[in-house]
Amino acid sequence: MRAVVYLPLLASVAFVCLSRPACRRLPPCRAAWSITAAMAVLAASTVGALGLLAWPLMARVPIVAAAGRWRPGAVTHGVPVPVVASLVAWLALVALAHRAVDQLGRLRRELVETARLHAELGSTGRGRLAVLDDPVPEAHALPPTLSLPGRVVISTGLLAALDDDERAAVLAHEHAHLTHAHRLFTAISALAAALNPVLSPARANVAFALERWADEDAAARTSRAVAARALAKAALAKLSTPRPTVASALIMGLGQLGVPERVTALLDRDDRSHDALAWLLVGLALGGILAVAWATHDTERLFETLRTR
Amino acid sequence: MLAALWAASGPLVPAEVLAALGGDLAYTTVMTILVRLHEKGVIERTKVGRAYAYRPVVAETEVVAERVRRLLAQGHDRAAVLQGFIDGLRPEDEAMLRAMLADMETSPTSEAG
Repeated sequence: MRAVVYLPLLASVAFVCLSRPACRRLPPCRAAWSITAAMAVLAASTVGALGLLAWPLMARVPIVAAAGRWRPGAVTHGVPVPVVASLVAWLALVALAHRAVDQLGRLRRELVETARLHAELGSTGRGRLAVLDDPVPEAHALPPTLSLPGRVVISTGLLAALDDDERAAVLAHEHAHLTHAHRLFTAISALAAALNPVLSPARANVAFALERWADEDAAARTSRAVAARALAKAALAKLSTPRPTVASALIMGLGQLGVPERVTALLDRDDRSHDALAWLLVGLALGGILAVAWATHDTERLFETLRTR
Repeated sequence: MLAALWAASGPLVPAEVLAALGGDLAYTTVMTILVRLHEKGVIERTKVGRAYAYRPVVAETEVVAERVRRLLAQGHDRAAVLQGFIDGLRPEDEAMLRAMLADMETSPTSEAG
């Protein structure tokens, strides 16, 4: 039991290393789905594994021991988990719960902000598209709320920089974000990373896969060349616009995947199959959850033997 | 006439359309054209007092919706909600992007869709 319970952590580390090539090589839709799902499964697995490590300490508490019909002393001697490991597991669980609650709070604030933005935009025509009087070229997809549909927001700066085809590509890109409910993917990956900090780097990979997914939709609507051109022109226009003091773009680190990689991907279509990567991701996630299932089963059996007749 | 309606910042009643067009046409002519455009579904109307105010129907991919003042602003939450088309751009990307654009313009691919 002891070795198996650490498997989810190892699987998480391996997964994070794989998620970067995965988000570049797999078809974007598949990449987004598999990386996000694997993150959710691995987060659940690591929390489960920590729970199993923390459990023996809990089992020694007299009330719990009485309910389970085993002697606290028997637990101390019969369970091969050192007290220190259990304590660390407990502390980790508390810290992770705190992170999860924080993340949920953040998500809730984002929902409030979304509603507020919808209200600021007001009822514009059919309510699907809003044009911002803003020289900074940018376009956004504003997610739906419970009562309002999603919207594409585009600035006059961006409209001015592009021709008709390219504008269509941008609109198709943002529309794709709304159609495929990409906000859910980012929210789930954020929550998974909160529960398992090792997974944090994979969030950027999910984000990249989602942008590529929307890029592919835009390319399908116009053409790969047009979509690539729209992206490149828009990015260059944004770079040449004096930045407002209020930061609206994420600050990118070294080696992070961004606009140039997206343009390249649109121009050089990669038709090779990378199924092995997808299977590996699935395998790691399954490995994590199976390890926890196995360890749980072992623990149950162990505690059965500790039960007093 | 549609151009006048597009250029307006809100719905227009026939009198306002007439004024925008410079008064070359008769009021009745303007009325007739507006009614016909409405029947064709090109414009829509809302009742304002006893008259109708007309405005163009906004198709989903039409670019002119309403011009809203800059609302990009403070708050990390707002930035998180509004993840953009060109997010995460570095100054050093500029050279690479210019090169890519130059390539695209000199050797257009015959790629379709």
